[in-house]
Formats: sequence, C-alpha cells, structure tokens
Amino acid sequence: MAPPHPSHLSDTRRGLAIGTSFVPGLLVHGSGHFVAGHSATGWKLLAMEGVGATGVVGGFALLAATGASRRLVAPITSVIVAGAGLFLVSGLADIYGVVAPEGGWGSAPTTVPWVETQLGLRYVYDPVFSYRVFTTVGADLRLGGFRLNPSGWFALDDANRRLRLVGGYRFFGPRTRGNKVRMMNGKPDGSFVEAEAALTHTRYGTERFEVLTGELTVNGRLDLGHVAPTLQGSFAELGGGLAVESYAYERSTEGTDLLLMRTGFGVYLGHEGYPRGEAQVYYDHRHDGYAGGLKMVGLGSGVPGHFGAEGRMYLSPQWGLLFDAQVGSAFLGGVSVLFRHGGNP
Amino acid sequence: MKSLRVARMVPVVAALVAGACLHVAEERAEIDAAVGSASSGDVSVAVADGQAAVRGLSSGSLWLWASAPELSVRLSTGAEGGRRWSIRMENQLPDAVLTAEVAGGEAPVATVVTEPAPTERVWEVELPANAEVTLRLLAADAHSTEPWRFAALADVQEAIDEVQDIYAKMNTRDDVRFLVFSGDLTRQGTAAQLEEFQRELKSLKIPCYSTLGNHELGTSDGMYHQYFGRGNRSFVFRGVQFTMIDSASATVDPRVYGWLEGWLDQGRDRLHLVMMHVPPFDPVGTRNGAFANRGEAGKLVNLLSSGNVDMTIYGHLHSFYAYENAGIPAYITGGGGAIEERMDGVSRHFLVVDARPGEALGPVELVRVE
Repeated sequence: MAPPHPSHLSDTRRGLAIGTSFVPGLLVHGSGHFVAGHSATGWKLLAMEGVGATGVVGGFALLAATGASRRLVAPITSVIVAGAGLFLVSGLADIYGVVAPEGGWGSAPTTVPWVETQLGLRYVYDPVFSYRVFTTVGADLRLGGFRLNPSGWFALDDANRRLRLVGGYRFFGPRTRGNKVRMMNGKPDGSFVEAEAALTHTRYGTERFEVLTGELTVNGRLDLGHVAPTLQGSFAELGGGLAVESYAYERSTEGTDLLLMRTGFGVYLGHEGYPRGEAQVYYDHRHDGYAGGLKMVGLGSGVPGHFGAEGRMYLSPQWGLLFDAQVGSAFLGGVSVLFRHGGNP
Repeated sequence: MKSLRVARMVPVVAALVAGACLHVAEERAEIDAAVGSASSGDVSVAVADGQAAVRGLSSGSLWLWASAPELSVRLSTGAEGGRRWSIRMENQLPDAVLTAEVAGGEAPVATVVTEPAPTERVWEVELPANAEVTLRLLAADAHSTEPWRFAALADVQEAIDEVQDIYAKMNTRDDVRFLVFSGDLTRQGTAAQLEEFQRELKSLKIPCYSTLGNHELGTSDGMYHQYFGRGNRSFVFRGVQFTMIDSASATVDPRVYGWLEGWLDQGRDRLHLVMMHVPPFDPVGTRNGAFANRGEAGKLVNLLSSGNVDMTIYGHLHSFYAYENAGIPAYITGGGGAIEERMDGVSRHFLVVDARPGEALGPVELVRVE
C-alpha cells in the first residue's frame, strides 16, 4: 500500500519532514521523504544525489589528473555541470515533495502558443560596463514542433544592443494546439526534448567591438512526476551544446568557442484557470551575455557560469508577465509583458 | 501569512547577493593606491608610483622590496633621524646603485655594507635630521636603446620545493636582465608561503617583478601586497613599458581601468608589454580558464590593442600557448611547476623574450626545464 501523500500527514510529522528536508536534507537528499514515509522516493533522491556528487567529485579529480587538458576539458566539465545539476535537483525535489500539496502546485500546459510576444525592461549592473537599462523585445513563433524566436536587447543609456535569432525543433513534448497531448498520472506531461540553433550579434558600441555567436544546443525537461508521485508538478532541465564566437575588434577579428551547459529545477504554478505559469532556478555555464560567469572572492573566480531564476505567469489566456534575475559578473533583473495566442486554455 | 513568507526570504536573498559580490578586486585596488607609503612617528617614506613595498621603517632604518628596476623614494628623516641610515633594498638589479639627495642640494654618498643575496643590498648613508631626502635606485642601462632580454614565468604554487631547478637554469642565462612573474607564486598566499617564495628567490641572480594570481587570494586579499607591493603598476626600462595588471579575480577593477588608460597613453609610442595572471581569453574556449565575463575580456583586449600594446603575457593555465588577442601577440606561460596540463608536450618552462627598443618585442624563446 502506498504511503499517504506528505500533505496528508499530521502537522507534526509533516513539519518534521519539511525540517529534515533542509537539515540534514541539504546534505542527505531524500531525508524529508524518508521521514514522511516515502522511503522508495527517498532512496531514489539519495541515489540521484550520489550519482550527481560522484560526477562532480570524479570530474574534478579528472580535471586535476589531466591538468584540465585541452583535449578532455569539455566532456569533463559537462559531467561536472550535469552532476551538479543532479545534485541540485535531488535536493530541491526532496524539499518540494514534502512541501507541495498532492498533485503539486500546478500542472504542465497541454499546448504551447503559436505566438508569444514579449516587451520588457531589464536592469543590468555590471561594474565594468556603463549600460544599465535595456528594453527587450521578442517573439516566440511555433508550429507543431518547429520554433523561431527573434529577440533584441537595446540599451537605453549606452550604445549596446544584442540581436538574437533562435530556430528549434521539439522532438517530443507539448506542441501547438492540434498535436497529441502526452499524459502522466492523469495530468499533462510537460517533458520535452528540443534542439536549437541560434545566432546572436552583440554590439558593444562604447567599447568599440562586436561579437557574433553561433550555437547548437539540445535541451530537455523531465517532469519529475516520472520519478515519484510526490514530485508531480515539478521538473528538471538539462541542456548542452557548443558555440563558436567571432570577436570583431578595431584591428582584427578572432574566433573562440564556448561550452554551453544549463541545468535547472522548476515547478508549474496553477492547475487550471489563471494565474498560471511556472518558475525555475537554474545554473547556466555561459560566460558570454550580460550576466557572464560568476565573480567570487577567493581563488575560484572565472570558471563557474551564472545562476538565475525565472518566473512566467499568465494572468489571462493571453496576457502574462515574465520575471527573471541572474547573478554572474553582473546583477540582472527585469520584467516583460507577455502576449500570446493559442496557448493553454 | 504570505507577507511573512516573503519576509523570511529577504535574509536568504540578501546573503546570496552579498556572497556574489561584483566588486571582487576593489579592495586590492584600494590597497594598491596605498602601497609604497608608510610612516613611523615623525619618519615617513613615499615611493613614487608605489613601485616598492615598504617592508620596514623606523628612525635610521628603511627596508624596501623593489617592484621595478628604478625607484624614486622620498624620505622624511624626522627629529631623531640625524644619523647613519641603513637602507635594505631587496629585489634590486645587482648593478643598480643608490643615490641620496637632501633638499637643498647636499648629496651624501650611499655605500654598500653587505650583499646578502645577488639581488639584495644593505646600503648606508649619513642623513640629517628633519630632512626631506630623495633616494634613487638607478640602473646604468635604464635608458639604453640596445637590444636586451627578459624572462617570464608563472604558476609555481605548490612546486616551490622544485623551483630552484628553474632558477638554476635561468641563472645560466647571462643575457637575461630580469624576470617578470605573472602570478600564482604560492599555493594559498599565506604569509609563510609568500616569505618562502622570497627566500627561494634569493638564489636567483636577477630580480623578479611580479603581479599576483588567484592563488594569492587563498588567505586574504592584502597579504601579497605587504610582501611584493602593488598588483597593478607600470614602469619603463630600456625602451619597454611593462604594465602589470591584477586579474587574479578573473576581472579588472573599474578603478584599474582608469589607471590602465593612463599607462596606455604613456606607452603608446614605445614598446609595451602588458602582463596579468588570468588571461582575458583562454585559447581553449570551452575551458574558460579566463575572465568571468567574455564581454569584459573583449573590452580589455580591444583597449590594449587600441593602446598599441605590443605583447601580452599571462599565466593561470599550466602549459604554454602562443596566440593572439585583438591582434596582439599573446603568450601563456604557466610552467612554474604547478599541476601540469597533460598531453600538451610542454612541462616546466620559462620564456625568454627579446626586446628591441624602437622595433619590436620578440621573438619569444621557450626554455624547457626538464
């Protein structure tokens, strides 16, 4: 017989489960579920933590053994980031599973809109650049599994702007209306895998150089309801790829490459009606863009990418808000107004 | 209830934001600005452009670690300073001389009393009390335009016990005038490790002008400066401007960008070498052993290029790379003995760079230390 959902436990026991999901749960993932009587899920989360930690520790050991050899550093770093992602996800999933109500805080959308446009403002504080405020515009156009996303960031107080065009294909997962909806435990499954190609051009007008970036990535989302019923309504993301960059300076043009790795944990918000959306926290290994990589005191600065949080909330079938914040070499945050057509009813 | 939850989140968010401080090199830039100045009672000293670390100061005694081949030092002797002063000068060119000039024109002669190491002299000079004295460390060839050479090294870290192999090989090179060191002298930048590095340097026959690396930040931000002086500075020797930048935090402090623009203006019409520890760009982009933000990396190298910089030398990556950044020849020399990059065909090494004033920097010779 399946144990009762943690939300059905007594206040004391549930409080204890929530407490142990933090201490010692931040170190021993699954602790909250063990206390809540969901030992099978607890073991799964502990195993995920173990695999993730092994990836991180093993990856760093390999980096040390190879002296971060140019021949092996990209796959080793990918293992480290993926391992860290698994570690992050298993820890947050343990907390989520004992805190969230049965069925989660929300459900995945059954469809994605044909058109979603956004218009917003971003504040970027980077001590070595003079830009601060950007207006951002973008459109996400989808048809079946295909996606086209042009966007632009324009500094209002500096000669800086970024133009980006993303093209993608979703191999499986929610698509535009009229396509088959995948279900999981009686609820829509938001899991997806999609490939993307992107071109980005950034003009640093004040600093008198430009950067053109071409990239290929594969990104995936797994609804964690696949892992355990208590995790219904949460999801994990992992993506990776490679970018090549061309820097056009005043006197020369030079190329370099960039490892792309991103991992995150998120939750759906709202089951039906509005407001409805999703929120996630993530780590992005990118060192380009306005957030760049993380600056730290001590000797570790430069290698990590940046951290971010994003929330997307529709207040009506067509109108919504997008909030995001990033911490890397800069503090970045802002809000966009979203307008869509053809989204989840 | 909801507002209570939000209130509980505030300290968490504040802690995250504070931990991810963006001004990670600011404190070191502030320390830089104070390097070279010290006082003890009514005795004070000020080294021009902060080109030396004041290791000790009292009435009748001054101890400096030189960070440049030539120094100009202003000394106020104080009421009790009418005596024979002992000037201990570490990390000086072996043939450099010390002169003294008292305000008013008197020029007492400084004489060497001991030579504890090839690059260390203890000078003595008779100075009056309550006097403003200018001490100058001078190199006879400082303004020569003849071709010459210097060596470059970085990343000794935990391999300090084997560093004598490198110095022994360097000592066989009579054509090398001094060593420039682009960071990671030590494993964690403790006082004991910094002292050990200076002790080991005593066997080297030439001075070592360094900047700091990220491993010098393992203990505290200001420790390096007490022993070696400024992380950011610029000096000219034999037709070449040497500019050293503190990039140990994978960024350059905004204040240092201001200094750098001035140094680039000064060096626009002469050969100019810029060196720092963390390179703006890693030649292996997927590794990113480089600046945290590629936008800043692009800004910096474009600034160096527009300032007519002739060469850049970095450390941080424990191998040897020759490439270009913004059209400037760039070299990475991380051959001081720290964990080596494997499968690259290069082990411990240092570089010897030809300087031909009025013409070019280079070629660059890779000297292997097997």
